[in-house]
Amino acid sequence: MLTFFDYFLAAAFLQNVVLMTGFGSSVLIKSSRKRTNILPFGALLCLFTTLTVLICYPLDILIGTGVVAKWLRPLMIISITAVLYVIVVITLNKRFPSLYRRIKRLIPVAAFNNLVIGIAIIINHQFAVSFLGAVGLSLGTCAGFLLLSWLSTEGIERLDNPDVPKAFRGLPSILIYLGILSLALMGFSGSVSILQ
Amino acid sequence: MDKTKDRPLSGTVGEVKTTFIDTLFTKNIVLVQAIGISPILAAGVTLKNGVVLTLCTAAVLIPASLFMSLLGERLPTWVRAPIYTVGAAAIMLAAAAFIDQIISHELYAALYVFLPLTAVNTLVSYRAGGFSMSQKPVIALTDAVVSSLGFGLVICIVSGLREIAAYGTLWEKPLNFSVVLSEAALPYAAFLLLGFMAAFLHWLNSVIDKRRGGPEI
Repeated sequence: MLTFFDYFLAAAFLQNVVLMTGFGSSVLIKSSRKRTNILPFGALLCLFTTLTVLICYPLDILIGTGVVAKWLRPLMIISITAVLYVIVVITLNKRFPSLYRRIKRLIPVAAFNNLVIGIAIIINHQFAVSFLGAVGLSLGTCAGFLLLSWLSTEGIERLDNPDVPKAFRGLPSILIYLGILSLALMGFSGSVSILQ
Repeated sequence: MDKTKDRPLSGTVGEVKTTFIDTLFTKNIVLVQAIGISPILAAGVTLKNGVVLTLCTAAVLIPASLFMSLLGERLPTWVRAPIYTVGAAAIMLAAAAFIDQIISHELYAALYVFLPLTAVNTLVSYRAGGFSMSQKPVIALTDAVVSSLGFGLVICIVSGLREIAAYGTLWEKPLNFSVVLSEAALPYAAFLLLGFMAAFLHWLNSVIDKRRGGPEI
C-alpha cells in the first residue's frame, strides 16, 4: 500500500499533479507572473487543499456510494471549501488584520480553484487511497504547485527575451514551456498516473 | 443605491459589438487571457467532452454573471466568491444528474471528475466575479455568452484534434487512420497545442493591427 511519503513524492515531483492532470494550470500561470505572490498563494492553497481533504475524507465514507450520493459529493466538497473560506477570512481579519489586507485578493482564488476541489474529488472518487495517503497527496500537490510556480516564474523571466519570435512572446511561450516540462516529466515517470 | 436603476437592461450596440469581438477573438478568453485552461488540458480529449463542457460552462457562467452584475455590488466583497461558487456547484449538480440519467451514463462516468470543476473554473471567477461586477447586465450577459463561445471554440478545436490523433475518431466515428498517437490524450499535447494556437492568434492580431495602422505587437 502506498504510504504518505509515496503519495507526497509522486504528487510533488515524479508525477507533478499540475503537469500530469492540468488542474490549477490557469491559476499557476496567473500567480507565477508576480514573484512575491508565490509563497503566500502557495501557503493559502496548501491550507485549503489539506483542510478540505481532511474534512471530506470521513464525510465521504458517511454519505456512501449511491447514485444520488455521487451527484451530491462535489456540492458537499465545494460547500465545505466555502465554509473554510469564510472561517479563514474572518479569522485573518480579526486576528491578523495587516496580513489580511495584504493577501485578501489571493484568498478567493486560492480557495476556489480546480486544484483544491479536483484533488478532493479524486481522493473521494478513489476509495483505495488511505487517509494518510490522502494527506500526503494533498500536501504533495501543494509542494508540486509551489515548485512549478517557481519554475514558471523563472521561465517567464527568461522567455521575456528579444530572441523569442514576437508571436511567441508571453503566454504562447509559457504554455509551450509548461508542455515541454510536462513531456519531460512524463518521459521520466511514465504515462501511468497515480491519479487515474 | 439601486444599481439596476442606473444600469437598465439596455446597452449601446457598439459596446455589445466591442465586447463580442474582443472576448471571442482579439482577447480570446483562453488564448490571450489564459483563463479556463485546466478543463481543456484535463478533459478535452474527445469532441463530445468538449461540447458538453462548453454547454456546462455556459450554464454556469451566464446566470453567475447576470447575478453578479445585478446584485454583486450590494454584497460584501468577501462573500461574493462563496455565493457564486456554491450557486454554480448547485447548477452543476443538476447538470450531472441530467447527463447521467437522460443523456448517457458513460459520458457522465467519463466526465465525473471534470463536471463539478466547471463551478470553480477560473472562467467563472474572473468573468462573473471580476468583469461582470462593474458592467451593465446586458454587457455582462454578452460577455458570459461570448466567453462561453470563446472557450467552446478553443476546447472543441483542441478536443477534436486530440481525438483524431489519439483515437483515430471524431465524435466517436472512426476515421480509419493507420497511425494513432495515444500520447496526444496526455496534458503535454494540449499545452503544446494551446501554445501554438495562442502564437497564431497573437500573429493574426498583429497583422490585423498593422493593416488598421495600429501598434504592432
